[in-house]
Amino acid sequence: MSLRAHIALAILVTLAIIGIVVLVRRRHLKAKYSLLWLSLGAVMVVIAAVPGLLDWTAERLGIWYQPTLLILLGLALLLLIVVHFSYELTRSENRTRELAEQLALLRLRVTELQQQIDADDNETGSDSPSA
Amino acid sequence: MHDRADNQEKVLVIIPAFNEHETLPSTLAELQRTVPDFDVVVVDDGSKDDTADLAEANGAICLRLPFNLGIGGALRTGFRFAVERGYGRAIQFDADGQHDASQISAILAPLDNGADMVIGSRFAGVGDYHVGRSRGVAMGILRWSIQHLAGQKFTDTSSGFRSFDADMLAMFATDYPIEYMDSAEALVLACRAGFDVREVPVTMRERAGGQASNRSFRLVYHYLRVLVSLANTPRRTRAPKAATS
Repeated sequence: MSLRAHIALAILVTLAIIGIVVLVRRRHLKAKYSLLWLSLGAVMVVIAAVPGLLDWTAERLGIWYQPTLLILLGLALLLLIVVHFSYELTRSENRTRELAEQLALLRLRVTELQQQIDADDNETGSDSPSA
Repeated sequence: MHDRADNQEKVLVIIPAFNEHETLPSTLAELQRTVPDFDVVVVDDGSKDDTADLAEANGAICLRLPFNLGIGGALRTGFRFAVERGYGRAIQFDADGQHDASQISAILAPLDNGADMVIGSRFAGVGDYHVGRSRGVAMGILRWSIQHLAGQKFTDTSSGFRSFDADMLAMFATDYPIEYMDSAEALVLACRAGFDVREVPVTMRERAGGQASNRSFRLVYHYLRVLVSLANTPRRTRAPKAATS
C-alpha cells in the first residue's frame, strides 16, 4: 500500500476510535460492545502504523493484491461482531419474554388481592379505607 | 383462597388466545356446560381486540400478556400459572372452537394410567378432519422427523388439544419451546426427557372463526424454522418422579 493510503487509513481509524470512545463516555454505548469495535480499530491502527506489515503478511498468505487482506480482516471482525449481536439479542429477547410472562402472572395476582381487600372492607362494614 | 393443596385434585383448562373475539365466548360457554368444575384460564397473548375482557366477562381467569409472545409463550405462561397454583392436571384447549369439550374426558383418562402428556389426535381413527394437500405433505415430513427424534410414532403432532400431569407441567413451566409449531417441538422434548406421552383419537370441528396461521409463504418460513429447532432439541433427563404415584 502507498504511504498516502496508510495516512488516510490512520486518520479514518483514529476518527472512528475517537467516535467510539466518545459514545462510551456519554454512556450511549456499553463498554461491553465497544470492546469489539475498539479491537477492530486496534488492528487497523497497527496496519496503518507499520507500513510493511500488510504487504508482508499478504505475501506470506499468497494474496497478490494486498489491500484484499485489509478487507478480509475487517470482514472477519465484522462477522464476529454481528454474531455477538445475535447472541446478545437472543438473550435480551429471552429476558423480555420472561418479564412479560411474570408481568401477566403478577397483574392477575394484584387484581385478586385488590378484590380480596375490597371484599374485606365490605365485610367490616362502613369503615372507610382511609386510616 | 388459592390454597395450592386445594388445587391438587383440580383440572385447569389453559386457553391461549390471540384476537379471539368471535369465538371465545362460545368456547367458554361450552366448557362451562361440559366441565363446570374445572378452572379455566385464558392467556391473552397481547390481543388487539377485547379478548381479555370477554374472558373475564365469561367467568374465566385471565392472564394478560403485555404484547404478543406467540402461542409458545402464551402456553408457558399458562403452565407457570398451573404450577404456581398447584394444579394437579391441565388441559390445553383452543379458543377458536376447533376442539370439542365433550372429548376432554378422553384425553384425561390416560393420565390415570401413568401417562404424563396425552395428545388428542385428529388422524388416529375417529372423526373426519381434512387438511389441504401441501399442508398434508408438510405435516407428513414433520411427522416423519418427529418420529425419528422422539423414538415414538405420532399421528397428529400439531394438535393443540392436550392434557398434562403435574410432572409434565413442572417441566413445561420452565422449558417450553417458544418457536412456532411449539406443539411438535414440545412432543420431542417430552419424549426425549423420558416422559410418557400418549395419543388418543378425538374428533375436531373445522375452525369456527379467527384465522388459521397457514398463509403458504409464512408457513414455509415457520416450517424451516421448526426443522432447525427440532434438529437442535436438547436431550434432557427427567427429574425423578414425585413419590405420589
